[in-house]
Amino acid sequence: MRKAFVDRDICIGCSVCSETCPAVFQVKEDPTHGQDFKSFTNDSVDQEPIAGQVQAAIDSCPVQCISWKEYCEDDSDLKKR
Amino acid sequence: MRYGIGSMKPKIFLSDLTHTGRGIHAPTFPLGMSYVASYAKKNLSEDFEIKIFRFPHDLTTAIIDESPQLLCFSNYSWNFELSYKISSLAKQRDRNLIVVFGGPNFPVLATERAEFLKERPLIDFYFQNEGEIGFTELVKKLPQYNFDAVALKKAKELVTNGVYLFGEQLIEGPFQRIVDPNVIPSPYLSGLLDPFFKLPLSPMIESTRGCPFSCAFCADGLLSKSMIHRFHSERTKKELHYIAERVKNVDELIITDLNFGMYKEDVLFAENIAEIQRKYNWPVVIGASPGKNNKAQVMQVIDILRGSLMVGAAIQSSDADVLKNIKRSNISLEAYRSFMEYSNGLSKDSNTFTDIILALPGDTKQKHFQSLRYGIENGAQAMKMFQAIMLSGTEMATTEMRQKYKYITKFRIIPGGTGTYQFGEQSFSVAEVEEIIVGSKDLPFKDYVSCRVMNLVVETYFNNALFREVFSALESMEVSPFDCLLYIHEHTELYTPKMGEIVARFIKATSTDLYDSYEEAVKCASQPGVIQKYIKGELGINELLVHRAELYQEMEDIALVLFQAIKSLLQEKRLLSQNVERYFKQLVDFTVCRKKEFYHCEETWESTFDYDFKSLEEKQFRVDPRMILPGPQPFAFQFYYDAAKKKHIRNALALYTNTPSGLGRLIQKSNMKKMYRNFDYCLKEIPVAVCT
Repeated sequence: MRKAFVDRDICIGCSVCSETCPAVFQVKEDPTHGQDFKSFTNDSVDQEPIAGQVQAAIDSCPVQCISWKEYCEDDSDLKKR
Repeated sequence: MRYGIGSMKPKIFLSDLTHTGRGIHAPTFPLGMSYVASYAKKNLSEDFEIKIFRFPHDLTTAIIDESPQLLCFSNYSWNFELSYKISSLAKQRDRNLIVVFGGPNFPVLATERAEFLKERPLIDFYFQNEGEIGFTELVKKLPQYNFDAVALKKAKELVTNGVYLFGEQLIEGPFQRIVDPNVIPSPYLSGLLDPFFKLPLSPMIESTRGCPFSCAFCADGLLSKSMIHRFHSERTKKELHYIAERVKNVDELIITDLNFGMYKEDVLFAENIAEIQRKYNWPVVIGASPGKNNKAQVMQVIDILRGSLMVGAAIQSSDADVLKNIKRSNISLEAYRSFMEYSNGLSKDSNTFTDIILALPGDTKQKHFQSLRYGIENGAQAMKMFQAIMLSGTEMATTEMRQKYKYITKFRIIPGGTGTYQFGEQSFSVAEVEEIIVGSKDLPFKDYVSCRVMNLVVETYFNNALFREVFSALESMEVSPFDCLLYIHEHTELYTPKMGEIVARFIKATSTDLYDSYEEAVKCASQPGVIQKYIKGELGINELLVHRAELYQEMEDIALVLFQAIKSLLQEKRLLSQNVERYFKQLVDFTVCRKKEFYHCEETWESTFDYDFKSLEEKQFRVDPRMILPGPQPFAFQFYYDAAKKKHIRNALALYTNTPSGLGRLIQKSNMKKMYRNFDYCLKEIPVAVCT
């Protein structure tokens, strides 16, 4: 199963992704980045049925910080993101 | 045959004009147009002769002497009428001349674009967004039609990012962003911009293009401009060295990036700037729009450029509804405070600021005052207060938004955007016009005026650290500087006659000198005698800058009003004692000695006080006046400039000219902390003048 992954070290919190695909992306303050706005993904959503919207968000990210990642239940690292 | 007569190459003139009627209105390099020229030169090989112009006189002379085939203009709100007027005169002279415009001052909706071109029939082609590729495409196509624009239009040729009217039909080429801007050769490294180093213009540099944010009031907020594209760091590094080796008598470098410091790559860019600062002792001042998010990253960049970058966190408004209306999110209060605290602590010359726009959709007097309070009470050292301008090409200027918020708008002549010029034997006058919001369903006009007066009070007293020492002392007593400023705003009976006169003139200027329509503004301004008033500065001034400069020139008066306001305010709060009053009186006088008349930088002054201000400065004057006692003996201080400050002031004065209007712009553009007098204990007798 694949899911969108946001590299929040690069993300600038501009909200283009959340406006393009609000079901998956949400921009909010990130305590691990000095309360800067960053994009977070909703990993509980099955993204395959709306893959077109997710891809549109990936393509429209101004700093190209979103990508697809393979996801499995025990992939704790990805889950944390 | 028009094209290719004998061995003459077709000539292309590219202009990014600035008005010069009241000094140079935009004293910067024509960077944007130089990219168009640079790309065209590369791709059109030696078939064409391309020249760039900044000043109207140079362009009109060259048109007459050299008869170009193509005239191309950058279109901004501050130069459109000038460019269009020159187009019309040039077309009268040569009806086959092709006129091309490009730039952000162009409507968003197709119907409005068609209307724009219909009303301006002299424009043959318009380029929206990036113009480099499309312009070169157009020039390559034109020879096929023997440089006949009508024939090309008749064939309905599509040109990238190009728009034109054929009859009633709007023909629009495909939209394209330049994904790799490095395909455009550097206009610095190719020597294209070399002639501009001889002029009193600030160099500009660009490392990224695009803005990811969607603010409704900004032409860069459109989705089509959201993707970020970057020039190679090696290239910008070479450009920085190239500029630093050639720049003369100009201390400023302007970075045109829309969110400087926000991207990872900006760290290296800043390090490259710091490297040239160490090597060339330049730039002294860096102008840039800092990133709206990623403050941790921005702070790193600020740290690298210590003191030379004026650091800001634009909020535009602190009100949640207003922000929603303009599609904007601000960083949290906590992040804002820590950003300001960090930036203020970097250097004694740090000068943080916050941008605020008055009369945005949903704004009220209360919300505007609250936004000012937000900035002032949370660490900003200056408030940059703007009027809401209805820029063509922004969402805020669309009919839908106008109807929704019932804006009250007026038209005005852009301050400095006027001039009388020559085209051969013919003299012509031009004024630029812009539309501003002066009220809405939520903001009555009288409240708008009241907000503007508050802006003047903040500009005068709070900005540029003019009375920073005094406000630090107030803060130590837990009294907000904003409350003091509000007291001055509301207690006009404290004003001295001189200050009262200046404020009254400001109210008149901000309330009148406005027109109901664009056409009325153009018509009135072009009447004989009227344009001269604009050029002389009797009309069409930037009232906030000019009146602030006038108030600065009456520093003893405004200092007296401040002292009276503090006294009354502290009395109301039951915080006033004889000692506190005495301290504030002397602190205000001391501040006047340090900061008045910076333009007389050759003079050294001397004065005596009861307090040891030297040791208080070490504590940044953050000491509760109730805890301070006068010294056993008076302290004599001298106030002076060192050689570096004198040079910086002389360069700034040369760039902006020493007039009320020029002085206003200088104060606005400069980090004034670098222009105030040093002071020290008077150890030997060197009084040249005594500060009274």
